[in-house]
Amino acid sequence: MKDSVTQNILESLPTGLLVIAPDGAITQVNHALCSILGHPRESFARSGWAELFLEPERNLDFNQMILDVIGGKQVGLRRVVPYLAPDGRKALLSVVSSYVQEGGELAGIVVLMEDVTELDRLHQQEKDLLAENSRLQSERAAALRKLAMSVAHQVRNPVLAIGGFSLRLMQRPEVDTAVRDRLQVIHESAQRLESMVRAVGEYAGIALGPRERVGLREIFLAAVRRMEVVAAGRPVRFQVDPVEGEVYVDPSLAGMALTAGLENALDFGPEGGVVRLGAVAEPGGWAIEIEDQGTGFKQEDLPFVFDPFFTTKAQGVGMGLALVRRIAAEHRGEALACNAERGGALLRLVLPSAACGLSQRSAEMCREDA
Amino acid sequence: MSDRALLIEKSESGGVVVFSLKGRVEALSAPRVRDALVASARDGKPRMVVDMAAVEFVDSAGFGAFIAALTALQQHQGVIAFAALGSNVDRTFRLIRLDRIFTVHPSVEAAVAALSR
Repeated sequence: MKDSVTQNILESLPTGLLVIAPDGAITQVNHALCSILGHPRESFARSGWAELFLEPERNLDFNQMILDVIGGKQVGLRRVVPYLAPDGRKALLSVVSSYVQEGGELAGIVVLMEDVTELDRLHQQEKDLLAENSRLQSERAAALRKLAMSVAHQVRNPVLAIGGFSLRLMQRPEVDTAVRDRLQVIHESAQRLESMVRAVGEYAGIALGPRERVGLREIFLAAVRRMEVVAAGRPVRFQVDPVEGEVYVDPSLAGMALTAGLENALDFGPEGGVVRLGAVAEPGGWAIEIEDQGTGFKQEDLPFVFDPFFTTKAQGVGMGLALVRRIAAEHRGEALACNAERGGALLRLVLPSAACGLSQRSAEMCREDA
Repeated sequence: MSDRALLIEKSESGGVVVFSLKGRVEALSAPRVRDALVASARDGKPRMVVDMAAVEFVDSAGFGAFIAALTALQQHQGVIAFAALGSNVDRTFRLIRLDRIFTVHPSVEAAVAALSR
């Protein structure tokens, strides 16, 4: 290729180019470089790097970059450095520099640079915006939790009074059957309301405590022990898959989520069925699986199963799976519901083994199924 | 990083002050070098040699301090020369053309002889 063509290409590049010859002379600069550094092209012809850029306490990182390339004879050294131009303009430069050798001898130092000031400003703006959104969401969530807890607290006492007095009235001998039946309805409604208030209080009160590494088998067995008490007398069997992993969680919250998930499986699994508790490794964590042998989730219900107060049971508050998702979110994990290959409901609770968020693969597996 | 990483020894030879540096000339230690050079010029001893034989490393703040010292010395009719650069520092001097800003000699003796004339 002719030199003039090469020169034309170099001049047209949006990336700044500077070449230092083995004797320190700057032998090549293009238009982009002059513009980025704010130096006229003529100045490069007369000077070396030190004469152009080395000044006391100015552009220290920019100069250090070229010193490191020379000192370490480095190739492809990539840095983002601040730069103060002669006219006082501040810029952020992305620089790639190489100490190029041929046959063991220095052929030249090649410096490529881009002005990423605007890109960095946009990134920073985006980060600030995300941080602000996150802060507002946290504030809103905290306010809602506070409101929910206050309402739960305020409602609990009257509900307890209604339930208690209705029971006492029912027990009076002079109350006739028709009135007793109505009192029974009042009493049962009060009990149901009390359950809801308790569930709301529990949901609103969730706060991530200190996290620690906990063995999956350890929390599985603890959850199953609790469930065996809850399921006493019911012909259901809990099967814990052999798994040797750890999750990084608040053990109390993780236990609460497992209990809620298992309670859901217990409610929807068939009499005499098996509820399986297992886990599969996910990038950065584990997807805990709770699978029952029931009829599975209805497709039309799947988008709502994690919503507070969503229930398909005749007697139920509908806060169990909402609790599971909330606890997963507190851990920057995810709770997903789908139907297992064998037809039962499958709940996947993705929790980190260190500090990680939702596993994309886990989410996709359930989306495909849904 | 500590400025204790640099030792500065001062001696005189033929009316020339020789500063022998040992260690690293970097952000914390560089101002001490600059101040020592400028103080010598103010004290009426403006001809100086910086012996770099035992200098392991100079960073951008260090080179900036040499430039700052040079600017200050010019007000006192000071003269400064560098001597006995190690291979790494010598390569840097050459490739960023610091050798066009400072006089560099292969040895302290050669530098002292040049400044004594």
